[in-house]
Formats: sequence, C-alpha cells, structure tokens
Amino acid sequence: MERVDVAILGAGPAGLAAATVAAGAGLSTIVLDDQGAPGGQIWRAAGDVTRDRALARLLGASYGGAMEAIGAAQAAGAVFHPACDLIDANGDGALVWLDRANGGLREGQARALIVATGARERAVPFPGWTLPGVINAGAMQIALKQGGAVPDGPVVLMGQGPLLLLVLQQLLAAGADLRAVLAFDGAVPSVPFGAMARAVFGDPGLVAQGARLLLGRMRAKVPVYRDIANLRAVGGDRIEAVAFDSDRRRQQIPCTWLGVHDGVIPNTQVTQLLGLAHRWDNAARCLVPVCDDLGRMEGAPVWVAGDGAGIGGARLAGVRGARAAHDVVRALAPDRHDAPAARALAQTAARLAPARALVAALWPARDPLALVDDDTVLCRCEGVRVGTVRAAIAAGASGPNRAKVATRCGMGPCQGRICGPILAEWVARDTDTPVGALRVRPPLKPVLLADYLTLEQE
Amino acid sequence: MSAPDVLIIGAGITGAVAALTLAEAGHRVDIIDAYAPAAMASGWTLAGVRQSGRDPAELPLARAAVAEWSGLEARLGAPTHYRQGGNLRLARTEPELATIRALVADQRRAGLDLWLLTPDDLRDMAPGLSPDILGASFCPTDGHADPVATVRGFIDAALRHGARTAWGERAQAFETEHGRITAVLTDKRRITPGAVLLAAGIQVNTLLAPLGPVIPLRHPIVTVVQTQPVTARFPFVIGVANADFALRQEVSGQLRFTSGAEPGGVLAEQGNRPVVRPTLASVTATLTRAAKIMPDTANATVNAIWGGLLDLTPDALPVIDRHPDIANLTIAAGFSGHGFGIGPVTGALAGDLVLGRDPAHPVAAFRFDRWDGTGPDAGLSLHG
Repeated sequence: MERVDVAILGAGPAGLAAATVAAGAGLSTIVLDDQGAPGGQIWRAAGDVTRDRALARLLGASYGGAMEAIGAAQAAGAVFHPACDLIDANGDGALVWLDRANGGLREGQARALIVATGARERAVPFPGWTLPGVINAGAMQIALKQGGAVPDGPVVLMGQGPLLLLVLQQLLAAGADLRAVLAFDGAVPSVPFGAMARAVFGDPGLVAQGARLLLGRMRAKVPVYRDIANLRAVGGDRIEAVAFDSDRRRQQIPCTWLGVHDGVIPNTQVTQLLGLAHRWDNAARCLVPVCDDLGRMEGAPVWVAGDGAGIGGARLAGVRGARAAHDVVRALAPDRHDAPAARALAQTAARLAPARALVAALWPARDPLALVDDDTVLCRCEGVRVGTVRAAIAAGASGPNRAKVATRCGMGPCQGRICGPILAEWVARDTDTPVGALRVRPPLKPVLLADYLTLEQE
Repeated sequence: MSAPDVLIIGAGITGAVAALTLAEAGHRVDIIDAYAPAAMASGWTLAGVRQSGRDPAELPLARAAVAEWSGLEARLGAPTHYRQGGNLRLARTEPELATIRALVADQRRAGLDLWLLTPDDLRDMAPGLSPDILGASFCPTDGHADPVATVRGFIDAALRHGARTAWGERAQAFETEHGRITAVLTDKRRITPGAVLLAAGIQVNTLLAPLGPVIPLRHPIVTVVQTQPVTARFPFVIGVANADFALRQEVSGQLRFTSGAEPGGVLAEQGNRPVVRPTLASVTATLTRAAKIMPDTANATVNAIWGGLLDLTPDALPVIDRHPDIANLTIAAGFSGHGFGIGPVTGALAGDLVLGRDPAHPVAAFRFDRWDGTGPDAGLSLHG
C-alpha cells in the first residue's frame, strides 16, 4: 500500500504540470501512466523522439516544451510510475493498478486524486471499419512516434480535425505513399471577426499552426475528396480499397491502410468509475465530467484536468493541470498555496480559451451514425451490428444500459469505450430522453485473476 | 392510463413471474420498477437453480421449480439458458466435510437425490478441482440459468398477455382507507389498482413502514466477479459447505464467482442506475478462494466486478404472505439471496395470494409476522 498526498493519473501535459505544482509545494506525489515513459499522447516517447535527429525533425514541432515539462515534474520530486494501468479506484482516493513492468497489482491511497487521462479519438463507424488496416490516424502517429514506423503500401486518410491535418503532414514528410484524403470537414464556417481576433490574440501560435496545416493540405499533391457518401472499406482479410461517392461519382481507391480520425473526446472512464457526475455536451457530442473552473468535482477529493475535463488542447491542458494542483495544495496544505501563481494561470487560461473555441467551431462533431447501414458493426468487442441495436431500441430499450443488456453492445472488455458514446446518443435521440452513459465497472482494463492474488496479504 | 386490477411493484424474478401468472389468468396487470427488469438481486445473482442445501420449508418449492425450469423456454418462447448440470458443494476442511455428510443424510431422508462424492469421484467428474478438496455433495438435478434473460422472458410473455410496464418509476407511498390500498403514489403519477403485489426486494420496508410492521431485513453485500470466457467447460454450479463462495460458468464460457454475504453494502445511484461497489479485500478474498478450489481459474482474465445487496431475513426464508392489516396487499420479498431458482414457483404463489386462491404449496413458513421479537441476527448458513 503506497500512501501519498496526491495521486495523478496520466503523465501528459496536464498531469506533468499538476505534478510539478503539487510536488513543488512539498506534497508527496505519484504519477501513474500506462506508457513506459512520461509525455502522454502528444509527447509520446518524448525522450526517444528528441534524441533521434530524423524523428525530431519530423515530429519536433509538436514536442516543444516536452522535455522541460518532464524535467520540471521530476525536479519537483514527483514519483513517476510508468507502465501502470489503473484497474480500480474509488472516491476516497483508494487506487489499484497493474504494474506491468514488475508484475502484479499494487494498491495506493491518496488524499487527493487528479485525473489527467486526456482524450481519445472519437469513433465514427462505417461499413468495413473493423477490417484490419483501418486504423485511427492517431494510431498511425503513435507508430511514427515510437520508432518512426511508416505505413507500408498505399495510404488513404479520412475524417476531419487538426490531428488529421498534422498526421497528413507527418506521413508525407516521412515518405508514406498517400493516395487520397477523404475530407469530412465542410466549407470553412464564417467565424465572427471578434471571435477570430480573440483567438489570434490569445493564442497566436495555435492559430498559426492551424493555418499552416490547412495550407499544407492545399499544397500537398494528394487528391482531396469531399461530399462523401456511401463510404465502404472493401476487402477480405484486410482492407484492399476504400469505395465512396464524391460529387455523385463512384470512386474506388486501392489502399493497404485507411487512417480515420474524427476529433477527440474526453477519456471519462476513471471519473465514471468513481461514480461522479457527468453531463452530455450536445455540441461536442460527448460526455464531460461536471467540475468547477479548477477541475474540482463534487462529492469526492477528485480533480480533473486537461482534455479529460473537456477538450482544450495541449497548451490549455498544462494550464489546467497546474490550476487543479494549486487548488489541491490549497485544500491539503493551505499555508503553501501560491495564490498569485494561481491567479496568473487563471488569466492564461482565459487567454487561451478563444483559440480552442475556434477549433471547435471549425470542426464540429459529426453525426456518428451518418455513414452506417444496418449491417455495420457498432460494438467491435461483441460484434453487435447497427440493425440489432436499432431493433432493441425500437423494442423499448430506454437507456444505453438497457440496450447493452438486450444486445451485448458495449459488454466486451473495452466496456463500451468505443461504441458507448454512440449508443448513448442514439438511444437518447430515439427515445427523446437525456443522454445516459454505459456503466463503468472495475477492472478498467482486463487483468489476470492471478494478479489479484498478489494483493492477498493485506 | 386506466387503473390495473393488480399493480406489481418490482420487476425481479418474483414480480415478473407473478405478472405473467396474473396476466395469463386474464387480469389487467401493471408492473413498475424504480430501475429496470432484473436491476437488483435478479440481475447480479449467481443464478443457481438449486434444491440441495435448501431449508425443509423451501425444498418442496425448489423441487416444483426444477420440474418447471426445463419447460420454461417453451412456455416463454424465449431463452433462459437453463442448464441442469448439477450442483457440487465442496468440503475444504474436516468440519466442512462433517457438514456435507450431515446435509446429504438429511436431504436424502427428505427424498432428494443427493450424493456424497469422494476425492476420487471428484477427480473423475471435475478434473479442474483442487486435489485438496476432501469431498462434496452432488445433486444431479440442480442447475443454473441466465437471470437477466429469464426475467426478460417472463416480462415479454406478460406483455404479450396484455400486461403494461413502466421502468424508472419508483413507488413512494400507499394511500389506504378502511384497511385497503386505494392508491399507489409513484414519482410519476397516482395509480389506483385493485390489488398490489409488493416484490421490491431490499426496498420493501420503505413502503411497508407507514402501514405498521416491517420485515426485519439486513442488507449484506455479495461480491460478484465475472471473467472473460475460458476454454475449459463444466456444467455444474460449485458451492462450498460454509457458503462463502460459489462459481458457475455462463453459456458464453465466462466464469461467475460470488462471495458469501458480508456486512457493509451500500446502495448508490449513478444516473438512475443502482450501483453497489464491493471492497477490494472482498474481491481478493473471493478470487483467492476461487484459485484454491479450481487452480486453473488463476489464468482467467477478470472482466467485471460488481456487488449486490441481499434482502436477508432472520431465518433466511422469504416472506410470501398477505399483509395482516391491508386486505389487498400481498408481499413477496426477503428471498435472502436464493430466490432466483424458486422464482417460477414463488412468483406464481404470490399470484395465488393476490387472487385469494389457495396457494399451490404450503406458505405457512413464509408468514409476514412470524418474527417473535428476535432481532435480525441469523447468519446465512448452509442453504445460501
């Protein structure tokens, strides 16, 4: 049993900033992360990437500040637990995690919990999306970040959002054979001048980066298709082509990889497991934890920071992580609370917010069921098809958990991480009820029974 | 909505069976549940269908239920995943072996086909069991089923017979006049049924208390652990002599373990769903027992962990009775963690009582007011 003041879940920008503040104030602080090295998704394998010249050239721009953030957390005295999967937690700060490096489950007890588990890619199913070779664009980027693996054979990208544009540039720079981009972002919406000005003024770096990426897609010599309909990934054992209508003409583009991306949504598994309040964000089409400006959730000593508290991007994540940790210090050790620093962070957060709002306005979340037919698999774990779920809803399944029990949709080992938000939104829309959420139960990740036996001697 | 002849409060196995019984008999039945069908005990249960280890008062019901289970799928036109694979009750220690021997002698005298197995017998029958097991009772006519599918099957069949359902609707109070319920107030509306069947598990006393006496219930927690499918297949339910562990394999190949009844369960709600969280210590203890009994289970992958609350009476027997003061109120509750298997019979008995018919089995042992002032302190013993 490891007893600490603060346990931070996630070692991305939010978790690292939180660790720096909490440990810096003299609170005993641990940081759990499922990866083998700190950095989170955006700074994945930061140490290796920055040491490898070619990779640094390819990916370097997005790794700005990574080594500083990691170094600061370590210098402040935060203890990093790499390769650890959170298995169970409760609102009293009790934690159970699987230590993959050393084997077995470990128990911890924290006075405060900061959940900084970031975002995950939104799933938008379509016929054939479960074929091997259809992968998240984020997963393609992970392969690049971890050793510079470039997809072999022809590649098609589809979807929308800034990450897709970034992956496009990175794949091109890495020499991937990019055949087409299926763009699901519409025409650029008219953003009010004031909103644009606030965004540019508040976070010029982010706006400039976005502009560069959009320009990059225009300049890339890769055909961009729009107004996509009747999309289907075609293949036997794995994807062989992507077929679709564009401008009312049928297209079929051979490929061995189809990278899909439709923006990101908060990773709420932990806060849901804790049984704390969440709300459905209609515009972002996702579940969001209910918390105050500093990330404090109601009913438990739990703070949520970074994209896990609602998508804000990496820059804002660091600020939110630090703000949450200042609030934790105020709660646990009021005499060490640095009020001026906390106030300065509040101003920074306010300054960065408009640019994020611009991103949300440019790439609104799509209807997750726009591309499916009744035969499309909705739940990958259990192989449940759209038509089966449609029938269950028509038969009166009045909430996502009832639809789950009736169809097994969301009952697999991923606990509905992928299909759950789609199912919840769908049931709510068809029954005209508030959007619910699939129940999250321990263990958060499948774990060997034998691993539980390592806890026996308590 | 027009007033029903009978309002059933609680859509667990008892309420669902009663709904079908009454609807088949031509009555207008409404069934409501604060959550959803099989949301509480009928959902989390291990779902054994068992005669062995039953109290003598319950044994006739259990035997009648087993006779019904094999025909249920045909009757309901829906899967129950009932499997008559037998029930093994293991002895891990010498005192447990003495308990098992006494159980076999007792129940054989009562006419149940119950065998005493030696370690050699067990090796042949269940090669996955630990060689340290000293012996076991085996009842070949026991079995298990899928509780959620079964309850849904009864509800759907009741719907086909004209019953009406409302989920997410909580009964909050009774209005009474001259010793009768005249209305049931829910969080949504006021219902004026001819009669009421209260089959709301751990929630019954909230509604009973304003009327007078309640059922002396405790709500201990049971820990449930489900694994991912395993390749080894076995048909029987496995229990132990002191009832602190049980195990079965679901049709999917997944294993389901349950702990014994332990104090300290708390019912929380998350988005209108009941949530009961077991302690890590109980999870670990349950899985330790699993690995001791069947060592290969250590290689299984844990898929989900949850908890359930029992409605445990002092003698661990249910209440199936009409309310002593309220003429049109029938109660079927307090099943103490082993009501699922006998549900097809007890639900029908409750229906008999609602209609004022002679019940098909003696129900004297299940009287509402059988408590003689003793507190709710009986443990869940062998027949858990």
